[in-house]
Amino acid sequence: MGGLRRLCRLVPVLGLLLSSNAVNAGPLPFDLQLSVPPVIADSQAPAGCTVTYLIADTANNDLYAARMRIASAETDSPVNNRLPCPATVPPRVALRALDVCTNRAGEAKYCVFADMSRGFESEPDIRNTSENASRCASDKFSDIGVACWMSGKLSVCDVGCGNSPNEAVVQARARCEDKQQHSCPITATVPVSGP
Amino acid sequence: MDLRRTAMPLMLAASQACAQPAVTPAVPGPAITQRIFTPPPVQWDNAMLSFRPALQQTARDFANLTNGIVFGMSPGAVNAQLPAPYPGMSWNELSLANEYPGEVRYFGIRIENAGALRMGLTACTGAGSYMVFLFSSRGLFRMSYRLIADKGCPDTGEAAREIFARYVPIGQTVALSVRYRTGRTEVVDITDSTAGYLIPTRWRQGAN
Repeated sequence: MGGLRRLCRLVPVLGLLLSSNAVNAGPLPFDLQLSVPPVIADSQAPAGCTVTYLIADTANNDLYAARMRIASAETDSPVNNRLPCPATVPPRVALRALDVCTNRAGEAKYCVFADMSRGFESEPDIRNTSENASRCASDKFSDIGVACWMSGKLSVCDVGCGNSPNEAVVQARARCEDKQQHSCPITATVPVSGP
Repeated sequence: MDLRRTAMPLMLAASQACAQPAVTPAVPGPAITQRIFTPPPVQWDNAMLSFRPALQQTARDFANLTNGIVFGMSPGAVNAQLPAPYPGMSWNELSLANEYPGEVRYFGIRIENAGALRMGLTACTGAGSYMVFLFSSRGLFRMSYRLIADKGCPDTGEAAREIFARYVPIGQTVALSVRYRTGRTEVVDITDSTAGYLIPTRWRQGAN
């Protein structure tokens, strides 16, 4: 009877011992599953403001899309699921946009805004370009486009904004052909907000 | 009849020219699509007074692009990462790159032997095109693509753009990508952003 009682006391203890990790003696696994969980993006969140400039490198005839994300104010509320962009953008933002070109082209004089005035081909200088017309803001447009014609080896371009790639190119081509008085068959487009 | 056939297109052409006197007649032809390079975005505060990179990029992002090659690697380590490594390689056997101040050494490989570093090129490159790995005492600080035009590939500009486009999205805090032309050669330089006084130096065709 006493032996049975002792056995009854031992069974739970043995059960605890057998079910614990102590039975599996050895080093603990290094991976403690403490890795940071993946960040889950809120696909329903309104898109923040991005102002995208098109910058041209006239030495290489390259174009850059300089995307400037601007933090929203706490009081901003989205319209059509897009957060508003500032009505005016200070010149320092445009200068930073030019930097994406000057850092890669080497010489600042070759980097200009991609919306060019008539006669740019004879005086390819930043003074013959428009900063305001070289950018599109994400609160109003989804795509930025450019249309160009070749003056010898120099690409002469103008910029347009739209709510589809096609609309942006159509706007850019219309602006280019109106301003430059040339057919502008060379086109390109990228999303304003980017990936 | 023949006269009418000849005259009609001439009249139509003349009427079109009169209708659009200012615009250069549109030459019907295929529309050409140009490439737009996309550097990483910049994040501004709400007042647009200060900015920072919007993406947190590291050497790992660069290594993912270059099949494991990162700045600071020794010549031997870079060589070992290549599809066809040179047998045996020592610092003293490497050639001097004379265009740089101080001691800079290099070795090169033909572009067709560059494996993943070809960046999936589809445009022509010219038979003599190659890429160079440049080392200071601190290790690899620049990879330089040199795409030389020839009869089979009279313009290597598109190939240079294809390569450049793959590196531009890497932020300038990780790697500086520059594109330029010297002689018949299109050059794409990818440089360690911490390389200091070595950064501005550019290769000139015939300089070495």
